[in-house]
Amino acid sequence: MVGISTTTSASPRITPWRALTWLAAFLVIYPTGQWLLTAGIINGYLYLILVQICIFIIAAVSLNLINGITGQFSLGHAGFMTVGGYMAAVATTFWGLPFPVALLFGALCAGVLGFLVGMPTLRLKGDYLAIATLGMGEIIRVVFENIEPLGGASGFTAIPRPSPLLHIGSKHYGMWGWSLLCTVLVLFVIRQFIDSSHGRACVAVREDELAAETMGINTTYFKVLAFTIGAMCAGVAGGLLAHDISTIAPDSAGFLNSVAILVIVVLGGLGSLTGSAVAAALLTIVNALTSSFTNWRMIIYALLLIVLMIFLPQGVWQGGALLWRRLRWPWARPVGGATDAP
Amino acid sequence: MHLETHGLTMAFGGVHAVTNLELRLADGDLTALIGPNGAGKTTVFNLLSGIYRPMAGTILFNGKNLVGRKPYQITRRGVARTFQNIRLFTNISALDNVRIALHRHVRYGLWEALLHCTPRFVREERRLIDEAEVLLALCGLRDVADHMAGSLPYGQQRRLEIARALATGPQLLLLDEPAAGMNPQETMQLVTLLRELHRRFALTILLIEHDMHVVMNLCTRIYVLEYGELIAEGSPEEVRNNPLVIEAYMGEKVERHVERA
Amino acid sequence: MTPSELLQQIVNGISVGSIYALIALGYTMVYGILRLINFAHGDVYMIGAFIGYWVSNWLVRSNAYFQQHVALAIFLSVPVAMLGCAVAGVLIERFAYRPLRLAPRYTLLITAIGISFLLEYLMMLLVGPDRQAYQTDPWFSQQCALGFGVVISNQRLVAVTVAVVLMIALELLVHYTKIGKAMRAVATDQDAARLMGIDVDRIITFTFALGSALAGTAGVLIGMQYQIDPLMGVMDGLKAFVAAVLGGIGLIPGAVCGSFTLGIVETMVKGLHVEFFNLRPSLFADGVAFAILIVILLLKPSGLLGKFAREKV
Repeated sequence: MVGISTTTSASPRITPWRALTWLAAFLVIYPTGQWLLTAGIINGYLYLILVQICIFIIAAVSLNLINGITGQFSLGHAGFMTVGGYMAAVATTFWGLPFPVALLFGALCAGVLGFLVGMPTLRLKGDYLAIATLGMGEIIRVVFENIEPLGGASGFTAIPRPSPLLHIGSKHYGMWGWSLLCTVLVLFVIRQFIDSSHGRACVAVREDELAAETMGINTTYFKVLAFTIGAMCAGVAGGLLAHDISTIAPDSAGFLNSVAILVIVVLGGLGSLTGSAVAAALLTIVNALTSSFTNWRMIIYALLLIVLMIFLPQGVWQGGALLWRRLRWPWARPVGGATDAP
Repeated sequence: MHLETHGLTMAFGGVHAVTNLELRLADGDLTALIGPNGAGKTTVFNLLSGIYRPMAGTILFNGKNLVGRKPYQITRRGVARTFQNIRLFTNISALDNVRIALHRHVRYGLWEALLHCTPRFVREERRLIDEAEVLLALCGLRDVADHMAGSLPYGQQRRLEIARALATGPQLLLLDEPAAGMNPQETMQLVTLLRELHRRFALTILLIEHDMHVVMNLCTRIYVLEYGELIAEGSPEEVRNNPLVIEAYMGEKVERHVERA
Repeated sequence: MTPSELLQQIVNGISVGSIYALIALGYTMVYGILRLINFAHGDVYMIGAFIGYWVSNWLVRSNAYFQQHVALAIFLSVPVAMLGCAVAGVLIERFAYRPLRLAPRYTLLITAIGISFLLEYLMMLLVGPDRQAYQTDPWFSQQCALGFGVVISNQRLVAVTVAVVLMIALELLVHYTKIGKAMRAVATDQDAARLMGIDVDRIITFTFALGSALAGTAGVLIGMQYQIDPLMGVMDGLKAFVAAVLGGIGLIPGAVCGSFTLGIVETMVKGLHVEFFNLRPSLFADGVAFAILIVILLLKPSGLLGKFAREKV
């Protein structure tokens, strides 16, 4: 089937030590980045983009788990982000809880919502599920618009900035450490999940739900599981976003924001975590660079989307790889792979 | 293992696909379910595997009623099947197709799946790979273990379906037209394979087949279905000479056919 | 609520629903033949509204007669809007959807969303984000009494009438003409239709043109009652889509049925003067549409008029 990348490697590797590698990577990147920031080598503007990139990587990767790995067409991801954001904000602003606890709380709330919504709606297939999740996102928006104590339609403002993860440098660069840590954690967790029997079961659900069910896999369990994990991670992203820009508004649950995340996932390639991360980074940078040209930016963005969908439907990562291969060896037949339709 | 159905009935709208079916399978049986197209054979499989819920009747598997159970529960009790139109997980490797079916035997939980760090995880993953490779080798697929299932030739895909169904560890194996589309040589290989699997795993096999060579060579007992009703059952000899069966396949009474000639 | 008030709400709901119906029909017809949720459809409706705006304004400005009879100018802009939107729909189908006929769902969906953004922001570039208003005609605001204490403004009456006439025309077309039969064939089984000698591509193009023309009409009808802006298609399109799903997506009577139901329910919720816990029902009205959506998807996903189709194993 064209358009979805393979997730399970052909020659399976068992990697129990991956946790250490990732931890090591984080321990290197974070202090380096922090030093670069305080030394003024990376300026404040780039820092803002960095945080945004982290947030959207988390959002995209968690949506990829639901849409790309498990094949459940969810269009309400921004709703989970918003719930996570609001709940985390409530925890820090009203209850004075420390930031990591608040984030966890927000994530849990989003996860619970994911579970409650997932149970009944994941019976639906394809387009119907998409419509239901779209509706869910809009309902979340309307609900928050009507909760006055949380700011109503104008949103929750004056959310306190969290203190930095490690006290290297000034307080202003607090968000970056947390964002990076969360990104590493989320990427790690989702990567590990995919490389386990549970992850493979989710892939089976995506490939052929009926056949999976007949092979002894409780498809409802795995659909809800992927949905809940995805929702929790989205909640983390939402909590980070709320504390980064100090506000969160009901509009962030809207359909358009869910679409924005979906676009990142599809551009990066459904099922490809690397693709999602790269696409998230690229799109955030493009967004930031063109922020002053709003109308033209949207038009170019839309055109880009359309052109990419027509010419590189597998996503930029996989499609780009294919294109590169074809350019280098124009006479070679492509090796049998996920992109060859049977 | 013991399977019985009593009064099994299924209708879709006005179409009666299966009516009052009485089936009996004893441990180790090699039974065929035959009949003209549209007789309801695949519907029977769908009922047995829990994909459809019968309108009436019971399915007793080892004494317990399977009706109302979800497909995955039925599979976990020991009933596995293949599909008439191959339903492999096409975008992943043959090995992974089998590994997925082994999931119910996995001994680690969700937390270990998320962290990967425990020795039990490593051990189980290793075991899964080994078991999957054994099953693939048995079905002659060892060389294509890392090939994308969708890119395999037809005959290998059919065998992969069987390997995958075996991975669930069944007592009863339902094979839906396993020889469909195969040439005579492949068919002979399939018969040999099925005999071997039957012996090695102490399986009970119920298969739907149109290819009479497979049926006559492999099966000791045959059920014949027409328009959802059982019209004959017995040994291959008995069924071959049964006039009702001949009429069902030929479409006319035997005597009239002879008269006209 | 008195019976008369209830009836009034229902009549208002019908007038809202009839507009949703015109848009919903486009969604449902395209879904019926291509299984595609055409996200750009709401923006075709918006284009219709603007075409009506430009044409009626031009007529009024350039001709004294029309200054006296603004309503007529607006009526005359309807066929222009229908034509313009039909062309837009055909172009979108031809250049964005047709190349992706065999592509997976996500690709088509994202392309549709891309087209939607493109139309919205091109229009923004053209006219700016502010709301515009059609010329008014005093005749429009005259109330017409329908009996039982129920009144309806001429504006609304005209809108409902036009909508209903078009819906009837569509039914006649689909059920009593050759091309209608071809449409139904393509919606049932594209390959079989092709084998019967039906030019499937032409039918698909025709369906898009038809749906877009109806949406364009809806645009003008809304434009003459309310203000218009480049992003008006987003919410209204979404709600019309909900209406189509409610009635049964892919079914023409479903779109009509669902739209009227949604229109009536929405109007009644808006009309509630009750305040619980500081919640204002009028703000909830948007949420009502989606709540209905979720409920119907959970109880009967095939919609009010839909039939459940079993997957063949």
